[in-house]
Amino acid sequence: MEQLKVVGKSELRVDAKDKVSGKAIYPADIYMENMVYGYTVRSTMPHAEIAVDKKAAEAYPGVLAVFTAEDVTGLNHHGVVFKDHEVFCSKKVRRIGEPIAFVVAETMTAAKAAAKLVNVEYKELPAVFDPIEAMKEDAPKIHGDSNILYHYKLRKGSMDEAFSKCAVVVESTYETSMVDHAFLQPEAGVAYVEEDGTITLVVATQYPHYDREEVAEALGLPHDRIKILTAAVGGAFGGREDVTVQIHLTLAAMKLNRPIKTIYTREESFEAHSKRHPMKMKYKTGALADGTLYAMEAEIVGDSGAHASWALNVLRKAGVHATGPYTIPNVKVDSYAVYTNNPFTGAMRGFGAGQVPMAYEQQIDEIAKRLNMSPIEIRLKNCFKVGSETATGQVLEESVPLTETILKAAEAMNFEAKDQSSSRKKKGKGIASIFYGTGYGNGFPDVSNARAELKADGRIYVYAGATEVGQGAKTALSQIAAEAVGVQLDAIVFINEDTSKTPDSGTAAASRQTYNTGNGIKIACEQLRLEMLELAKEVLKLNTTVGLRINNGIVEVKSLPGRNISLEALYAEAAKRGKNLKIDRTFVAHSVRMDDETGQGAPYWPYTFAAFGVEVEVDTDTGKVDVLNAVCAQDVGKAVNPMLIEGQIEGGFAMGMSWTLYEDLGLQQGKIKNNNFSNYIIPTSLDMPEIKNIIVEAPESTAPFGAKGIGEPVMIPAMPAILNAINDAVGIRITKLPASPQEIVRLLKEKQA
Amino acid sequence: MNIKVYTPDVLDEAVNFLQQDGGHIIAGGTDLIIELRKEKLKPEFLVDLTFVNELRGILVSDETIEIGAMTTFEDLINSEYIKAELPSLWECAINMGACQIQNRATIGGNICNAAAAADSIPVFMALEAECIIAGADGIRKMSIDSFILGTGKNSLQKGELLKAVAFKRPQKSEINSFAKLGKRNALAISTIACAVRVKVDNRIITEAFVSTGSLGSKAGRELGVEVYLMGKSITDLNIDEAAEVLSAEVEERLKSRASIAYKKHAVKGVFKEAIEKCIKRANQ
Amino acid sequence: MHVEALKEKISFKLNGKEIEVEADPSMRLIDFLREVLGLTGTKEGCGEGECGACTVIIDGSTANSCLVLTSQIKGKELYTIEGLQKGEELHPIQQAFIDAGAVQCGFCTPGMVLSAKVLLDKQPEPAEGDIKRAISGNLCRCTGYKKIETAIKMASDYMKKDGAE
Ligand code: FES
Ligand code: FES
Repeated sequence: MEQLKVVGKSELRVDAKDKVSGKAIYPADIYMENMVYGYTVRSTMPHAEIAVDKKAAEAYPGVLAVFTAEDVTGLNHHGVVFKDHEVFCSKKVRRIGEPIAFVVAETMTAAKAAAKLVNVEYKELPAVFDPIEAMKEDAPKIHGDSNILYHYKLRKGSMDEAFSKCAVVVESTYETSMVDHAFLQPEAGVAYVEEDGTITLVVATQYPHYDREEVAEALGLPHDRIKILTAAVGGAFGGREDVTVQIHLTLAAMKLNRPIKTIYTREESFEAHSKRHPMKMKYKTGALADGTLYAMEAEIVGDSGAHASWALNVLRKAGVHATGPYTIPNVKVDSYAVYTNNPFTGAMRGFGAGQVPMAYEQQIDEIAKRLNMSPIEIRLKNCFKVGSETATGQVLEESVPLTETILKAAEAMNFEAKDQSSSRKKKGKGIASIFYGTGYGNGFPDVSNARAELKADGRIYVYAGATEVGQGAKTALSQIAAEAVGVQLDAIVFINEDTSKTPDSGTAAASRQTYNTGNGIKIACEQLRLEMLELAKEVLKLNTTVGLRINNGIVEVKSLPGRNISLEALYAEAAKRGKNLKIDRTFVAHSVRMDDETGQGAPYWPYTFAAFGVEVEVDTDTGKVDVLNAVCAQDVGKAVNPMLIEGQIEGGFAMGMSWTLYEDLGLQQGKIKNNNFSNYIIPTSLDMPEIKNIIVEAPESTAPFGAKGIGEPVMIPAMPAILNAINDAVGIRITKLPASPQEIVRLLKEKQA
Repeated sequence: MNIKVYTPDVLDEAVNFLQQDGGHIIAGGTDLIIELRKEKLKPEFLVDLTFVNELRGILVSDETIEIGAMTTFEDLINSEYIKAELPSLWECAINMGACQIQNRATIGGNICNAAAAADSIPVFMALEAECIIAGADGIRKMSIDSFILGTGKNSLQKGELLKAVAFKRPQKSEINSFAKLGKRNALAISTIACAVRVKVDNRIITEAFVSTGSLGSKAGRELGVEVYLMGKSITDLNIDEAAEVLSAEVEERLKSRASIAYKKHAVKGVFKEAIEKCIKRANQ
Repeated sequence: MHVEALKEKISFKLNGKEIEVEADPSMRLIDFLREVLGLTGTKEGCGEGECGACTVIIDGSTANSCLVLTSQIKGKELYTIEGLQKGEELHPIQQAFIDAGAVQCGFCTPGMVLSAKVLLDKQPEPAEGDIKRAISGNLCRCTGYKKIETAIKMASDYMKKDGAE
């Protein structure tokens, strides 16, 4: 293979300069002439029938309109899979924080004051907050006549006698917590009507093309009347997948014909967007005397809250990943998604594959302990290798460097060496290994469109609707484009901000942009290169394109560099000939739908692997856990940009650690008590351990230059590794997140008793 | 926010403004502005003490130390004297919020807000500090313990403001320290705070002052453990036993609270950390 | 409401220039900067002094502009992120943030850069602990802080070299 020139280098981010200088425009930073402000009235009850009276609010000085369900011009609904959100609640509310009205006024102060005058009469309905309760026949129903909205079944081998053959069987129930994305930029947006009637919506989103569909359907507008501009996005992590401000703003701009803006406070942001699915997981794992994992049975119940959002996909992903990255011949998994009156849950980094390791990684550790094996040894023995078959029957034919990640993590952290503990502060080490399947999965069309075009300035314009949410998509995808065309990075102009210009490249989620859109861009750019060289051959009067290369914006003959044509001139030649050097390509990832009864199939591709090791210190008096060191060995296929990958790993570790130890919504009867950063705790610089990154490469042949997505897998091993380290330090098993000081003290006391 | 703001330059002027009804003092503003934004407070006017220079500063004399109410936590951190002689106060300051807060938040604001988790209060209690109050009729003084009435409540009357806190300058034989437990290592509200001050003669503890914060509605001295410590040798102090005494004392006081199951345990760790620092200092 | 009645003249030094503006002295400084002066580089992440996205420099120290009233800046010297670069030329700290890969979503970045500036102005060669402490009031959800810490070390080197020239 030819040496790569742009891919594989830590190129500097293309969006960084604006961000360090304060010039990057986030939606809240937009001010327009004649602009008005909107404020959302939200439900304060978890389950109730409502009647809304807006007269008093409408009469408040400065108020222009109060929009409610009756004002929605199309279908009063939205939702990424099921349309089970209302734009404004019409008859009943299903959770606290559901939008009921949108008050628009000349100033935000007036809008907020008038919002208090929107009179919502609630007739309380019985509510349910525990998904297990909600599964029962006689539970209050949130939508329709069952709260169970999805059931995934995975069956492999035979469970009859499977456990009786095992030398050790461990069984326990685990509970992960509902948490918030806590991206730093609260939701905001601006909408306005352009002279030609187009309504432009500027918003921070993960998937502008889908937002456009949602807005169009809710307002009964044709797609081409709506333009979504993606402003700078202040973090997303899945929390900007479901629409929040989009429809409200577009409706108000359309009706009032004035630019309108809304900005959520942090407290409102907590109520407005989705959360991570908390899961209750009943797990049983058995191994033979030699440490071979032999059987696993799991029942996983995910709380979807009041709306479905991505619940099907999340619980499916949880089910498929339930075994962890280990070969187990006999498996029975059932996963359920259940409606409750809690805040709704949706996409969040890890997407179901992130919750299950709490169970499988602690159980494999426990098995090792009982068999007197080391945690490393048992993982190496059972982990996926090239040729392994997953529980869904998918054969992993290539790019499975899990063994390498485990070995490297263990070595770098000197896993077997014991550190000194004081009498009240105990140290411990833990390791966890995971896998993560990229993409929407299960045969769902996972499509990325991309366009590459040579323009008059001699540069390559790449168009793709792939959002830059902070992960570095713009930079990494530009690198792939540059490599594929054979130009330098600065010859690429990457355009992803405007739905009227970009093709749909799917969502910036599921760790899919590098692989899917990267592939789309790569094939478009390769074709563009071919056509550029073909034209150059003609213009330069050559007999072949062989030996032609692009060097610094000039197409030249390798052995005769004097025979050349600049890319600007090439564009002019194309124009003269009436030829467009513009290529559109589509990439569809392969994914085979699973059988409904057995879950057998090839749901995701490719899989990415990781193993993290951590060292913790547990204060046995206060229960406080400090993470001292972390080693993160991450499979990436091929590193497009090592510096970006390191940034993802470090940020992912921080998020995983935060989930494990700190984050707690303080949920009570569907109400989020901890709704600001003073009580919703995420780590500061002083809480972070040293982190050693180990990037493991094992190129995947179907991926662009071998690169796999890593945005999610980089956070997943942090939680189980910390939990295993806590066990190593003080001998307790965390079965409920977060592993708060209170919980640790409680378990320590329980252990003493 | 459309509230009238007075910005006096001298103390008398500030006190004068406060004689009108409906006013509220703004010191650093780090707590107050949040309350204003959430409309938990709706004063008719504010008296901004930012420019009253006489309220800011640390006065060290032979006998006493006086800290002006508008002295910021950053001022404390930057004071070489505080760092060397009053590590309890210094550690409290450097563990308060983070730099941005330390730069703005004031001692006076921290005390007057009287939050259960206000970290400076237990420190001043262990120092047996006095609050110096200025009003239309001049100055009055009271112990910090009686100044703080409960969560969010202090003894200021209408028209008064806290001018300074003062306490006896620590003698050579004194050691003090502070420890706190928060949910994270910066930007943390105390789950439990503990300040310790001991006088040591020939390695024997002759006097002990232990106070805690965030246990109950107001910070306070822990007399049981103080008694326990007195007469003990600082060299071979049984820290675990002392911590049990404190824990039992706290449990007795807060037995009706849901949080006690955890706090009675955790307070031991916080106290041990504070006393260990004292022992280390005694050995230096 | 008598909005106008409550306005008064406020003069202070902003990004090196003396200015005088009519403003409501009880307005939060962040609103004053963003809405009145159009300086939107200062971000609001929480409005409670917990995230540091709104960090500005007042008289050489960092402050959360969501917790400062406009009345409190009279006569003071204020810096926002817009005051750091000279024309197109980035401040060495800004350059270091780019070079070290310390920027992801960028929402915390202006505040981080200003916290770094105050640190490096006071301590040109900070120890690791000083760096961590200096940015401990600035939350970042994306980076895990490591690359930001590296950037500040790099900036210290850049500034030393600049100074030597
Ligand atoms: S917005 Fe000021 S600290 Fe968060
Ligand atoms: S880069 Fe996103 S919050 Fe720091």
